[in-house]
Amino acid sequence: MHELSVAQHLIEIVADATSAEQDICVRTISLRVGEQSGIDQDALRTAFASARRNTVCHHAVLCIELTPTVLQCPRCGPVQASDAWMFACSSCDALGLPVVTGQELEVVSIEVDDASSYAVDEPGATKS
Amino acid sequence: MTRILEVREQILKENDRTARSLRERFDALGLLVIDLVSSPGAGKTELLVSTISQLSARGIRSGVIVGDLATDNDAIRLAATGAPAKQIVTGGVCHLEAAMIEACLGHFDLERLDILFIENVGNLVCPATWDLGEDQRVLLFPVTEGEDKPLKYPTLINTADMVLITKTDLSNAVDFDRDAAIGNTRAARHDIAILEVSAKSGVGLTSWVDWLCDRTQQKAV
Repeated sequence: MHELSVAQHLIEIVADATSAEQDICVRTISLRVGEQSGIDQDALRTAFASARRNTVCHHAVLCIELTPTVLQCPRCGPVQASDAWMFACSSCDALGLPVVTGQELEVVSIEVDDASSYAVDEPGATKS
Repeated sequence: MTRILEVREQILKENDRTARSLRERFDALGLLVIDLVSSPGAGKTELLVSTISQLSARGIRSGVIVGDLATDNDAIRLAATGAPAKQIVTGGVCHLEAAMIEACLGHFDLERLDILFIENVGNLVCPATWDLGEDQRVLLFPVTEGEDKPLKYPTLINTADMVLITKTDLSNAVDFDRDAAIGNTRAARHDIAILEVSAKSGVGLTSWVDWLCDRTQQKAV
């Protein structure tokens, strides 16, 4: 369950990125999570729902873009993986290819609102 | 008013930054750092006990950082070799992070070490995500876990530099299919180095220790 550690690091990044803002409420955090990043997005949402309490992310939800695995095939160039976990080329079946994309784990953007325009309520699990 | 703040930050940037700084420090010292990763019970500690003794006989000085959720049992076993050993009790965290490594380096006189081993928390999933500043990540697959482990845990194998097939003295008892295991490892990472060892019988240990000695010499400043 390393997603809890990842959620805590994520909240620190949001806190840093919004530290200069006054009276705001973080609504949505957009993430790019690669298929090969080792992160399970459901586990990350669950961990985040727990970790966000009493932080700048108290009312925030995650918007996760899952990026597929793209491999570098010596014969075919960048290719989609036919089987993401076998690192196999979808065109020529070469195996064990290096990963070009699919390992991302990044915060892309943060949507914020004026605190006054956001109804203060207790965040529930349904907001994930 | 709703606004979008562009961020574009790696979520693990803090860990990556710490790992980078550790790597620079280890490089400046000429210290080889080996991260051992496996499931619980794959034989990491037993292998290290044998390895450290053999390295010591060749004049190579080792230190060990070992991570577990609870107890300092492993550090006690490792310290019996005479090598400095520091236990990190993670208290529930399922992997080691770079900051944990940094925090315990004060326990060691790094100038007097040639190799620092990091025995990661027994886990084939979570350690993959965390760079510790190591030179080599060595993945242990014991024969008792079956031939398809490399296929079941591809994320980790994609971050590893070597696979050690361990507990080979038990191969016959568990009908281990060596060719299938090597084939599956190569399917996940066609170019990865593979060695086979038994800490109990000693078979294969010389090749593993030779490999470590070569890398120690390459790393030394």
